[in-house]
Amino acid sequence: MNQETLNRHPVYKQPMSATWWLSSRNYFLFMVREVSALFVALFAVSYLVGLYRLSQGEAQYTAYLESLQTPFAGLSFVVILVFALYHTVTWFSLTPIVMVVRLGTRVIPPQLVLLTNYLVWLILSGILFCLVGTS
Amino acid sequence: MNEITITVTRYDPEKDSQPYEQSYSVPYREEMVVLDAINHIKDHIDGTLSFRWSCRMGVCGSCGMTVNGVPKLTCAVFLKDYYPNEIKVAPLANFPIIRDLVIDMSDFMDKLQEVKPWMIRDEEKPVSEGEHLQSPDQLAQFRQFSMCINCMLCYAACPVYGNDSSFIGPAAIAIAHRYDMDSRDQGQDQRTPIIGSHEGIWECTFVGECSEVCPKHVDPAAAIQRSKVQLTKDYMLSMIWPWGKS
Repeated sequence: MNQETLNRHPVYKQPMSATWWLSSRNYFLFMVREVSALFVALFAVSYLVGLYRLSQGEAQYTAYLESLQTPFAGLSFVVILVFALYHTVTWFSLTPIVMVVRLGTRVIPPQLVLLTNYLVWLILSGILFCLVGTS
Repeated sequence: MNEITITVTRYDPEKDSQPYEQSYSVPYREEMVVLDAINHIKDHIDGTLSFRWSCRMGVCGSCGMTVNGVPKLTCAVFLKDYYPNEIKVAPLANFPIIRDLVIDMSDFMDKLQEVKPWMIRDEEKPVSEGEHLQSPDQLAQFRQFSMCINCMLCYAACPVYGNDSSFIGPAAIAIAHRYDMDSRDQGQDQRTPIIGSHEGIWECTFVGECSEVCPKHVDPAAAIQRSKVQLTKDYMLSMIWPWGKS
């Protein structure tokens, strides 16, 4: 709000509460979606550390893998998985709103856009699983 | 006759340092909307209560207020959906209050003008050459976004605007998108510096509540995200395509 606007007449500026995100279910779920990104980042960091340990040699990499065998690490990865799934599913569900795919004059149904996301996810996960499984 | 309690926010800039609440008991009838109830207060109980309204039929967008914490057009909210509980009516959130339930909308009006919400042509053709033709498919690309009635409920629901009022905001961006998507318009290059600025689409974190509260199903959140995709595509194309996006 610029000063010129405020000067036109006396007004009361409504403050925004720090707990605004607790005032409705939608706001809360939005904040959970935002926070879930931190857990996705946490996984990325642990993965990068793993790659770094791998570059240092077999002994360091084995030590890194052993450090992940603790109950705390196991629980952390379960929590990370839950948030990563929430992050993925909520963003996927928003994709049809963002992407309007046209074929000529026809618009592809939103459900098909959503389904394509899940299919690509499934296929990529399958490829990764095969690569890891066969190595 | 049954009665219902309506609690409204009161604020007189010449007397009060901050707003306070005042409750009124209003006759309840099933067909009454919240606007009818506050009009009853104004006409029969307390003539000093100030609020905006005009058409009573969800077209003018004047009577937007916060009803039990949710931005609503008060002409479209029935008392029966709350009865017998109390209904709290407050001014639209995120805007400065001028008096009682009247908010200062000048920030929105300034932003609306900034995005140039009108048809822009490189060269106007003479009337004798006839109208600009448009196919039903071309119309369908922007029609939804042309339904905005400037009621500002989306601004009241937007925590991004609440935290930082420099954000151009949902309705103004949706209306800019409406013209950008119109096959008859050639003004996108004039709107992009505003829409693509930091205060424009990139400030939006896709809370999505603007679209939830929109009484006309405009879906401003979709307009903002689609503008993000479009501007990103244009930028990438301009990097690899020597003659730009077109």
